[in-house]
Amino acid sequence: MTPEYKIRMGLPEMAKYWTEMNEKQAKGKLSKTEIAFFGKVKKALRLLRANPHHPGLNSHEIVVLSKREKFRVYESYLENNTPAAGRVFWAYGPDKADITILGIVPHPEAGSYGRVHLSGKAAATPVQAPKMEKKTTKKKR
Amino acid sequence: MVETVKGASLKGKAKTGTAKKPDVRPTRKPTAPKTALKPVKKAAAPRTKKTKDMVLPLNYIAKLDSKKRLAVRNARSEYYAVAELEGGVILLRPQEEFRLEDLPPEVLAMIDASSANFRAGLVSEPIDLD
Repeated sequence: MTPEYKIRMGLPEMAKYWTEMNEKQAKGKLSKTEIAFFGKVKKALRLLRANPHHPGLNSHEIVVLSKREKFRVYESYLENNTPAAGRVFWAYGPDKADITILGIVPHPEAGSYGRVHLSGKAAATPVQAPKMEKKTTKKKR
Repeated sequence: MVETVKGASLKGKAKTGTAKKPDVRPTRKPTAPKTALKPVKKAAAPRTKKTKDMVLPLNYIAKLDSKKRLAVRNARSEYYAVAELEGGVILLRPQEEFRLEDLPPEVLAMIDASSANFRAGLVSEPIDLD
């Protein structure tokens, strides 16, 4: 059995969010939507702890964010088969068996984040054509 | 039938008085003699912005394989939006999966702050999920 990861929260905001939500839950002050969302977050984090690349999480690296932060940043979905699902941003580390949660997006703004965008650079940047290798046939003697 | 040409002079023929035999040859489109007519200037084309010539950095013929698939050579993107135009033209446009601009600014700020602390090794204690 593979060892489970330790889930840590990024400082300061994620840790603050986690403690606040736990306190609210203990006092029974969470609203219906907060209960539903916090349940999804917990479930996703449990899956992440067991297997970061669980199929339901749809974890994948966000290259743009990785370049920006200079370490690999991954994104996982809080819900499955939902285009407007909430998302978790996380990274491996700082220790070997650690996963740090960097941010949580409740749900993307309608019509913007959930959509896959077309790049406008495509037409402007020409690409060099790959050199075609000539087929060499050996002559039989 | 006598072929008449617009602008051609017929004065000399009228003076001789000899009747010309009817022409049996199939009628052709009247062609203007080069000497008689002045060259007509073409109407000036409407001014348009000068556009650069279309650059084709990659141009090849692809053949469908047995499963009706086409190979994209030197593909730059993992995902493409495919559109079929009239006349069977298939348009492939590379997709960007993620844009930073689409993230809410407060979330981006949160990720930046967390990342800065993460690089410095500052993270919370392991959380209890059970």
